[in-house]
Amino acid sequence: MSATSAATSDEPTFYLMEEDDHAGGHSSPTPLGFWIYLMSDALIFATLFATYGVLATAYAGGPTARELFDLPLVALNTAFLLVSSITYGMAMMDMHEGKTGGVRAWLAITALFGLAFVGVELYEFSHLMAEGATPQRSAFLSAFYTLVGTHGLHVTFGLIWIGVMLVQVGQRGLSVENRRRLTCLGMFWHLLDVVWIGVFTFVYLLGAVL
Amino acid sequence: MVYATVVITILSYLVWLHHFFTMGSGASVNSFFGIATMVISIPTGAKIFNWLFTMYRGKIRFELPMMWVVAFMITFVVGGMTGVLLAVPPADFVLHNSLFLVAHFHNVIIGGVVFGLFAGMTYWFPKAFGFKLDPFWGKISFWGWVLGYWLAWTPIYIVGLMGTTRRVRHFDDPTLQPWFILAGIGALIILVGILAFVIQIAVSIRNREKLRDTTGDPWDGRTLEWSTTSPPPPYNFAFTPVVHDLDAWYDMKTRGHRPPAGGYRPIHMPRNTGAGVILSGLALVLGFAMIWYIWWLAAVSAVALLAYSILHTFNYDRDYFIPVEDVARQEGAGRALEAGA
Repeated sequence: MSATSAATSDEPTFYLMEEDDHAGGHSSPTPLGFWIYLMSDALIFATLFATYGVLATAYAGGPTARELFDLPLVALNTAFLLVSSITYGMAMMDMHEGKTGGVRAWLAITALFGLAFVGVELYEFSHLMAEGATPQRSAFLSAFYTLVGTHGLHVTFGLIWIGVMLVQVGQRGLSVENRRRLTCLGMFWHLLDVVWIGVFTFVYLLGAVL
Repeated sequence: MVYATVVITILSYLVWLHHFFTMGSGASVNSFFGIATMVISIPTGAKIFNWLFTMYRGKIRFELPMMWVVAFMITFVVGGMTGVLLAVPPADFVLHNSLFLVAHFHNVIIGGVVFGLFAGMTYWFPKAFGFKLDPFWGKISFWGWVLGYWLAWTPIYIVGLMGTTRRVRHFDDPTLQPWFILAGIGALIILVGILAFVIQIAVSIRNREKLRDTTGDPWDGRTLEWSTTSPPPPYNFAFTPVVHDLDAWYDMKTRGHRPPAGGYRPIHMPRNTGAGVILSGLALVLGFAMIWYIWWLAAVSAVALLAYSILHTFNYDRDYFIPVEDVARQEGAGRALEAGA
């Protein structure tokens, strides 16, 4: 350094020559980026909730929310999704303890609950459509299928992601990349839970009252 | 400047209804969006004065980027003022769907975006590609665009104020004809500007050795990007620069400081990947297929999008180090060029 820099004592430093930032290993910016993504996703759901809120009673002479919704079934489905968030939390606890096997087992259990949720939702949708309550029937049903379907699609992509993580944790264990990805997947999965609580409250419970 | 940008960012969320003043949403809604739209002119005015006071009593060199900047400022101010006019809901009831409106938004898009874009492109072209753009054809393009713009759009403002509506193929009033002929001549002059621009690019590529920027600092610039070679090395800076002044490179130059010529270390770099381009290409196909109801193509591209995203996550070879020798060679080459210049 002394050979290269002509710096005298009164001249400020213009270049950092001794930093070791370039050696890598600095903390990943990915979780922050993922938070920003999640917030933009939350905006999509906010828009769909607002749309549903406006159209919730626009039945167009068709079936009403109270006539259509099967609350015990939806309550069971809500339980599936909430439990899957707990089991995902268990996977993360095992990750912090470095238990690869435990992580994979809890991920698989989470995936089973997620699959059950999507399965019940598909059953509910097909049942509704068989009764003639299709998205085309009324503005209320268009908004309903858009909101609940977008959430279901998110859960489906979350399931695919869990599948990928099962493979990658199996291949490379709890590497830096896999820990980062599991953290992001966890944030994604829990956000879907939060959104579902909104769906359950404002679509199903409120629909049974209206 | 920063506060003005932030304020414009926030306000710009609250103006969208100015496109729909005449749809019948009522006086209070129109007032809100009208006032929000007019208020935008305050931070924008702050920006214009900022630029003016930056130039005031400075030593201005009228090279091509500066010419575009001046044209941008003048043209954009006029577009902004007709915008404030249109933001007044009662005035908008008269002016909407007229050629006055069409002239206004071309005024802000050409004057505000295109001219600014040309200024930036001409300015940073040597930094990105290593050679300056040909100034002769650049000036022809500039005068074609600026004179052509004003000749083409001033008559459109005038016939707009006279009540001519937009998107009409045929006019019954023959007194409008001279204005449209004038606008047509303006459009032809703009065409000269466009052609000169294309010629400028071709001539610049052909004469790139003569126009080569050997110093990395072709404009005697003030900010840090001009302290590296043109084009910059893949790692940008061998050492992280420390900023002490608003114009860091000017500060370094006045103090006679040169980047260190040794003591390099390996530089950590991300690997190149085609993933972004491939994913956006597939997304483009998916969007196209969804818009035109081509379901088989939508399904194929959606599956491909998902499969490629997953495949990309199995690529763990994402970074590398540029060895010290390569950094030294690159920095040495930059220094040799500087010495030769």
